[in-house]
Amino acid sequence: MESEREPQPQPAAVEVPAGRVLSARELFASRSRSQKLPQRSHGPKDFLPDGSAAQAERLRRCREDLWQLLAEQRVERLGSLVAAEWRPEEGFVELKSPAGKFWQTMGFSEQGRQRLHPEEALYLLECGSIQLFHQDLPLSIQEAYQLLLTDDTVTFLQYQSRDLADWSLVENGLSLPGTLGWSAAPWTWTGSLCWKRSERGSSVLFSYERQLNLDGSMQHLEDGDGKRKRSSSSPWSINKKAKALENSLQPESLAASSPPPSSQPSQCPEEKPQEPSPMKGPGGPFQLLGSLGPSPGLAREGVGCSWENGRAEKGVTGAGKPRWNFEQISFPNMASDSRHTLLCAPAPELLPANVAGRETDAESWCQKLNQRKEKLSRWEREHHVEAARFREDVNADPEVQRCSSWREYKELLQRRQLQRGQSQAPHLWGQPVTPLLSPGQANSPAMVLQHISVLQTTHLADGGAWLPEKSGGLEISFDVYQADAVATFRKNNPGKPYARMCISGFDEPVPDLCSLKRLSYQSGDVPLIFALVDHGDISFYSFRDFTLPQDVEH
Amino acid sequence: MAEAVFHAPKRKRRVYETYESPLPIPFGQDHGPQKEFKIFRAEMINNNVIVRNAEDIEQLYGNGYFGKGILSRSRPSFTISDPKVVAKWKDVKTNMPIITSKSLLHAGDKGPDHEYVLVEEEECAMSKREDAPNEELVQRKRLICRRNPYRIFEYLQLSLEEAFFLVYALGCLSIYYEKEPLTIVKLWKAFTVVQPTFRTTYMAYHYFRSKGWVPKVGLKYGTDLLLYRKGPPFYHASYSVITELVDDHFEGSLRRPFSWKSLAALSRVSVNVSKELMLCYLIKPSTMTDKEMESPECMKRIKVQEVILSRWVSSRERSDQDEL
Repeated sequence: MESEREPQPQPAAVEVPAGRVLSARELFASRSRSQKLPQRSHGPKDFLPDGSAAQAERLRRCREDLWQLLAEQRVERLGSLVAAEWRPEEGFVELKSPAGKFWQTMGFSEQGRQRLHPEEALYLLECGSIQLFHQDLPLSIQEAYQLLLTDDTVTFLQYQSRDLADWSLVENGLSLPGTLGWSAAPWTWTGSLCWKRSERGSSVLFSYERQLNLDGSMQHLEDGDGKRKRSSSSPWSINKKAKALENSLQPESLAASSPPPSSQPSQCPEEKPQEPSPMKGPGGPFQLLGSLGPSPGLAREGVGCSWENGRAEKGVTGAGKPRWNFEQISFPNMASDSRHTLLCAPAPELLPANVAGRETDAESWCQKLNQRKEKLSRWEREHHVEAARFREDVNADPEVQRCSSWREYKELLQRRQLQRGQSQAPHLWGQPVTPLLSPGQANSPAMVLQHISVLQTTHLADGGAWLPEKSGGLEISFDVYQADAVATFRKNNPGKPYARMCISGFDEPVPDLCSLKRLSYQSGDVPLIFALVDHGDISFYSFRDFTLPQDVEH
Repeated sequence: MAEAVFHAPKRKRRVYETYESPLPIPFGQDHGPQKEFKIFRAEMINNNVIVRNAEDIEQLYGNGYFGKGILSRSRPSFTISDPKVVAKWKDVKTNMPIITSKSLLHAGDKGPDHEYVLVEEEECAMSKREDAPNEELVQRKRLICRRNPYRIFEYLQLSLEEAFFLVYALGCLSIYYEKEPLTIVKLWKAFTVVQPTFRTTYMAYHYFRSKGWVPKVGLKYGTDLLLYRKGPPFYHASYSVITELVDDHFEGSLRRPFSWKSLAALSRVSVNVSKELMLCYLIKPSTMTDKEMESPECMKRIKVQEVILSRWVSSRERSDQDEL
């Protein structure tokens, strides 16, 4: 480490090449260095460069202070340095002379010899407690970094994080003032914690037994929706086309209707199948329109329906009795869902003398209707989209589908109207899914909260044991002990750690819930910390289990 | 696993409101057996839930702090009153807005309205509607009641989660679309169409409401919800919550892809406004079918995991954080 030219004269202006033994004068100079920390800030913070000379000067002064600090040489007593040798093939460092105070918290004994893990050795080297040799030559710090930190031992990230945190070795009693930089020697720590490398691969001892957590028994899904038999296209579905025709042809049908029905009742109760198929149509209503040339088939349908309507309506109001059993008469469905447009000729005996019926294919007529595309304005289009979300299709209502006649539908509407008048909010209470709280249950706020609490709380510790091991995921690297627990800390019996630490780089993914649960299970009842290194800046994150308390008293 | 400690919420220094009730429903213990359980009315306008009736607005906001006035920051409090004039006449106890005569002149259309305003006018502009005559003939200002020249009405807008909570959990709100009331299942489906993540956000909202806290939207701090104890006027929000839906194996496609950078940013923002950052995981069992999710009853099988995220940066000076 070379020191820069310093502006102050005399005692500090001594340059000593690194590694050399100092002369008396040099020693005196180094001891009498100012121990003051440089000022951290010189006035209020500047946010933008403004190109002024004053700002440039401030910046220069700050930088210079820092450089000065970083460039200071460390002076140690040669005799107090413990000699240690790096054994690359074995992956540890062996102490050649007896260990100093650091032995209480670092290092391990094996085969009667004192040894250090590589990261411990590197740390002590930086602190100035040991001298590291390799093949009988002392290693510089740079060389030591290169040799000791390989993928086999400890990664650089991991080393950084333990080095640069607020950890200190209490035994060393080091508390040099100074600022922190990753390349400099470890200086300021205000906290104090000791390190112990966790045995990777060994199971972590818990001081309590885990409770077996059995999940609530799986509720089997009940298939509550019985398939309701949908009656195939109801003969009573009146489509728009028919309605249009019906409206135009109505007066004629009604006007001329009086004579025929009286002669028909005997013919009516024919057993006809319910599925839509071309019929040898019922005589009465249709014979009227046999004479209308060009639009026989469709018109029949239209008027037929209207005629029924008229009859049905009359039936409801009680003006006249219906003559036919309309439940048993089915009409061919001309709607677009299943067209039956091939209509066969009516039986001649059902037609009056001067009327000739013929079979027809109404397909061409179906195609001619409703050709013009409705041009919707932009507002209308958006409105339709919105309406589709919030409106219920009337035909999708199963109760409506069950109505087989217009009369039944009217009755349904009346029933619903009555219901609405009686009970409050049938759209809330008359449905399969009702509100959680009924009005009678709200006695107190606490009771209300009880009724609406349907979501269950769970904890990080639950179910962690069953999670699969993910290779390449985050692992616990270190156990961290507090330094003031030094009285109880023994290397062969460290006791419960203060925290367990996982290291992550800034570009690596954040642990998801699965990893959190797995790691917290491994960690047991010791808090888990994630250390993140970002160019020398360390941040510690903790994800802790929490349960929000219920707040009832106000 | 060491649990996060609960810190008591911070009271606000100056509180201008009195606390009425935690929820807009009558409690049996207060009213006895004869309770008038009122169902409030809201409408769907442009995919938003709006409450127009002034009484309903008062009840919904005053008891539980549901919704937000569309012309105000939180409580619907828009008024056309001129604040200076109001301050001058503060002894006059009235609900009517007070404006100056000048702004009366600049008013827009004078349509058929029912509201009245008090106008500060000079005494020389006398009208029959004046108050008791004044002895002094010096130019004094008087408040005169006139028709409201402005017609601005403030409505209460409920978020989809708040609206659904009032309908499903409490049963005290009916939402109408073009005069037709909507059923719960229909609302559940329709809201999901409007806001695809509705189910997740609603479940979190419901959970925190069922614990007695007041969740409000967390847009200001980049999160989903802010949790208040009692309500925004009384306490500062204690927690800033992010919700995620995960499956049985505790994995799921995140609504917000997290990186350490974004987490650092969120953490910094939360600490600056002294809130704790909470991640709320909603765990859905893998046996749950999509059909089951079509009804809000699926919530009975969902589990909630809350995690508090805290951060400590070593290079900064030690603040008064006593734990990691």
